[in-house]
Amino acid sequence: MLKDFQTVRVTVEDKVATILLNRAEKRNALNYQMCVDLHEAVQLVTEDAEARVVLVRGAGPSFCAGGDGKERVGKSEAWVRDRRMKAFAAYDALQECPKPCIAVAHGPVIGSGGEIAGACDFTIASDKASFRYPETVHGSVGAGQRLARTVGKAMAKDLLFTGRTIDAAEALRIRLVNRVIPHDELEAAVAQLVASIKDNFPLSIELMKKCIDWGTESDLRTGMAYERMAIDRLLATGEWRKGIDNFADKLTNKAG
Amino acid sequence: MLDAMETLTLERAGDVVHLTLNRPDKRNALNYRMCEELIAAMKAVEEDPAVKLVVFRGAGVTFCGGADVHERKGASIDWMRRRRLLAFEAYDAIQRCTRPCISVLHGTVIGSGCGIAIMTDFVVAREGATFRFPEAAIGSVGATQHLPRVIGKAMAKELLFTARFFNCAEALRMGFVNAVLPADGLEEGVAGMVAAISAAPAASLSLFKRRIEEEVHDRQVRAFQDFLAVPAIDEVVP
Repeated sequence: MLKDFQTVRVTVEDKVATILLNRAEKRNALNYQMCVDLHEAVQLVTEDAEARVVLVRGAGPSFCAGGDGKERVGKSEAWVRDRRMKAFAAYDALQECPKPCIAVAHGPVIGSGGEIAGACDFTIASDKASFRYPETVHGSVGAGQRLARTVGKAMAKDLLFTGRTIDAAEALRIRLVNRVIPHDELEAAVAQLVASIKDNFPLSIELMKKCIDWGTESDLRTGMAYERMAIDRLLATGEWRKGIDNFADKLTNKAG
Repeated sequence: MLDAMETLTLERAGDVVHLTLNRPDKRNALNYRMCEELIAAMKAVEEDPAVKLVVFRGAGVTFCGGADVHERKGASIDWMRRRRLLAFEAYDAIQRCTRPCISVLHGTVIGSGCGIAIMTDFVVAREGATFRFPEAAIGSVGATQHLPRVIGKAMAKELLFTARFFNCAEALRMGFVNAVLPADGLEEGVAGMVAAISAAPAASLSLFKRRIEEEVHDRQVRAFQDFLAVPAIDEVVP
């Protein structure tokens, strides 16, 4: 499957969907059209029965250079507000996607790019990637919620108040990314990562994703109630029995 | 039950209880009986005012090789549900223990083994130990609440979605274990920790229990129930 939106390209191949931010000539700066396209792209991969894992990537050397500042010149407050809400809706759609979504940071991830990556489940980065939240430098406001939940309140404030650039090693240390891979080996690492997810049980992954997302916004006891409900939901489908039988047989064969 | 334990041993050494998962021929796989015995053991610990500390270990080649999947083959949904809830009860009993609990992990520690360890206050690993949460690979759900609270949401998702193995170095980096010790220095290192902790007065080792806002709790639980379209909330929330 391949679908080209104006600013985003979606492909699905061998259970892996790729949402490619596709304005390489603008370093994938997020403009109004890309907000709309990204939102539709997420809906498309959500509905695609073949797609089991979603990669979010950038065309050209950048993941995403941030919000498109040029398109805001001369615009009204109402327009800017509408554009911001469209971006929020796209981030939310990505975050709520029932499939595992992984950001591949192969180059600079700036501002809105950080929000797109932050709405994914986690980020795998090249050692050439860098990260920057320039909101206060531009007189804007953003990234205050997802970033603080990922790297902690104090570090989020450091990054937001200074607008400084951090390299991949620092991003790993503060847990903004899960892994840093030598640039030349990034594609192999991504392939290995998706291979270890795409054949796992989709309902297990979907339920665990929701339990984590809802549970980390709740107290622990509430979170455990979510997990108990997810287990009931899973038991109701019968899928679990297939998994148990496969696993028990494998163990028996190994022992035999 | 303490007198007739099939799956655990409890040894008292001064003010320290050594709790050992003891089904070595089954890699200490967590089964129905072990859930019951863990609950009983934690109750015994609570009732003994002289106990200052509990150390969890596994007999044989691993701390715990995961849930006993053989016991689930052919089981009814009701049985499965009871078994899962019983494990939650055992995990709760460990987490709510008012005395400090330490786990000492070795070998290939899978699923429920990691789940038991994460309920203790902190984890020490023997060099060479490896860890795995296999839920997504076997069509199950688990570890979605405590794990992200310990290692962060993004890393928890990676481990749970991939069901991959991770080693001691990674476990240490992500905060899953507090310390990694070589095999020949393990017991000495653990003894040092135990001595340092049990030197504190017993009263100050007791933990506070968190108060929960019941109203907020119920509202959030109902919203998630609607989201999943799960029936009969009264059966699910105790």
